[in-house]
Amino acid sequence: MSLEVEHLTGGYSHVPVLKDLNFTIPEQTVVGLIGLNGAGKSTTIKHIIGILTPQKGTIKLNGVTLSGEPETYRKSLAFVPETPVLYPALTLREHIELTIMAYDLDTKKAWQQAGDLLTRFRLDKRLDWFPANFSKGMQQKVMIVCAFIVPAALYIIDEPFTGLDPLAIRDLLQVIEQQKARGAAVLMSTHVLATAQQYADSFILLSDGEIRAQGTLTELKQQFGMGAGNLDDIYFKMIDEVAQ
Amino acid sequence: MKQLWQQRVQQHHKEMLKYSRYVFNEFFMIAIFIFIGALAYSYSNVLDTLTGQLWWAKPLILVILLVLLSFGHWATLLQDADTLFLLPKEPQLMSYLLAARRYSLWLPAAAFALGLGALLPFQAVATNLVPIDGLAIFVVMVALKDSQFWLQLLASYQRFQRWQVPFYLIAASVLALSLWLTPLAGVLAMVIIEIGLRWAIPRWLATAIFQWRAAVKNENSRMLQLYRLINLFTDVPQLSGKVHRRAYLDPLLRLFKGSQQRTFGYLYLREFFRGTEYLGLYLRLLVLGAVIIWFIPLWWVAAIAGAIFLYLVGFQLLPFYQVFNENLLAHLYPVPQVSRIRSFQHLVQGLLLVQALIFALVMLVNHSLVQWLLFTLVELAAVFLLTLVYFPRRLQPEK
Repeated sequence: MSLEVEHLTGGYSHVPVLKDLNFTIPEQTVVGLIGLNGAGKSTTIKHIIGILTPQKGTIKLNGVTLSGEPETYRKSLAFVPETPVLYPALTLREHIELTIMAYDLDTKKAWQQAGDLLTRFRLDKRLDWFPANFSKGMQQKVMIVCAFIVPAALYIIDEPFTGLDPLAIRDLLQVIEQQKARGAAVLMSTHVLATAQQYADSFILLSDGEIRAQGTLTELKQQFGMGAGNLDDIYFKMIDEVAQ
Repeated sequence: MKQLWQQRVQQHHKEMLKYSRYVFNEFFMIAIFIFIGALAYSYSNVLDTLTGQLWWAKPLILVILLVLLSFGHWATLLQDADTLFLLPKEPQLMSYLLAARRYSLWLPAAAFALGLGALLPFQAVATNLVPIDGLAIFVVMVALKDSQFWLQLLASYQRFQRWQVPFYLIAASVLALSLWLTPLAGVLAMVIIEIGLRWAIPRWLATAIFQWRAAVKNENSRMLQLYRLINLFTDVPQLSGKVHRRAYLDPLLRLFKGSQQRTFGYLYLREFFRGTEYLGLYLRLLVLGAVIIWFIPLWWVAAIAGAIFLYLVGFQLLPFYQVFNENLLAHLYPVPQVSRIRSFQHLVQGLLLVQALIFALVMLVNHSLVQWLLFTLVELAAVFLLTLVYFPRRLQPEK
């Protein structure tokens, strides 16, 4: 069991945004977190990465909570934010060095992995540049590289498909595939349902801070009583049901 | 467009007024008065030693006038967004630019008046020129500046891009004419040039296209120079947050050996030496402190002043601790909070030790060895008291 979320209730103030979330992300699975703007996707992610503290419930990563063993918890987790966050004063090379330092990685192995990722995302010629001056798509690639040199148990990727060019999306999906094969769990939030349907093993459908449905595509179809149809259809049906 | 110009000028004045309060603070004014007083005193002493006309007086004046002439830029106050938003207004832009040109003349004119006024006594002693000639030279100078701005205006329409060398050659000839022949000849020459320019310019510009990008770039670099000057006295938001590669510091930065516990040390070090805000603050106070210590004869007063400066620098560096708070990733590193505090403490300690060392070097110049030793001990005690006892307490109640 990689990530276990039990009875998670939480939010920014005393008014909870998330209401009693329960889900698990086992090893070697990619889970898509789906919901409209304001459904609670980002808030869920913020609780898992630990910048918000749950009001009720627990979040366990490989059996460890953040408050119990903060360093172990944090080391098992890598995060690619929706908007790139970079250090304006650090070059690309130094961003990678810093990640290696912060996660106490084996320098040689990590640089090997980094070299691979940098070539894949066509950043290998820009090691001595300030990524803060890159275009948004390139900055996002930097964030991806920095996250995937960490051999984490869980990768969280917030909106990976907006801002990336088609080639980069393909490359990212390949990297996710690789990590999954290694044994990692992946949680990605997205609006691009077609891609999510294709690459995620199961889905969590969020609405108003509650989980409306979760499971594989086949399970979801059964739940909503739909024989055919894709994730879009299920999603719209769910929204219509909520509206009624 | 005239209205837009007026709006821009008002904005500009407001901004400059805000900064001038910091630039012309009491200490700076006192220093300036002392400096000007000392300058005036030695100037009058030099004048006393001069007798009769000197062969080098006029060439020297010519050089000074040419340097003085280079003062002042054509301020367009154009902004980046103008290249997009004012584009449809290009035909009407001329009235804006003319207003800008006229406005830009005031500052150099004032500078010329001051400079020529200061030259008057020298001119009276060492040359055959009379004070009224100074007035004529002033008129020539302002007219030269005026024609320079015309040339800059033409250049922004892609006419006479390389005007600098011909302009200064003509300026030198006209000024030489005024100095050696008679200033009236210079005035006459300038009248002819100005009339010629005003006749020719509308014809030259008939089919010309305004170079938006170049004009905005010029204006930005002009403002940047201004901000840099102001930044010597106070923080300018347009400059803070700016990062420079400063590759020459890399060997220094590489001395730092990173490890997980020192992750934040790595970050703080680079952010400090490549940023502008805190490095500038540190250097300003360092230089000011060193100068003040230089002028204090009593060792124990100097020691107290030095300690106060160490406190000031350290205290003002404290907010630097928060510099990564807005970076989400910095919160996710599996690095304990304690090591972040320790890293910051080490940085401040290092900076303050360097400062104490420089103060001690200054003290070494005009104090006895015993006094120097006592001073150094006091400074070191201050550094360790601040960084080991005081700062950890200030940083702790974060939780």
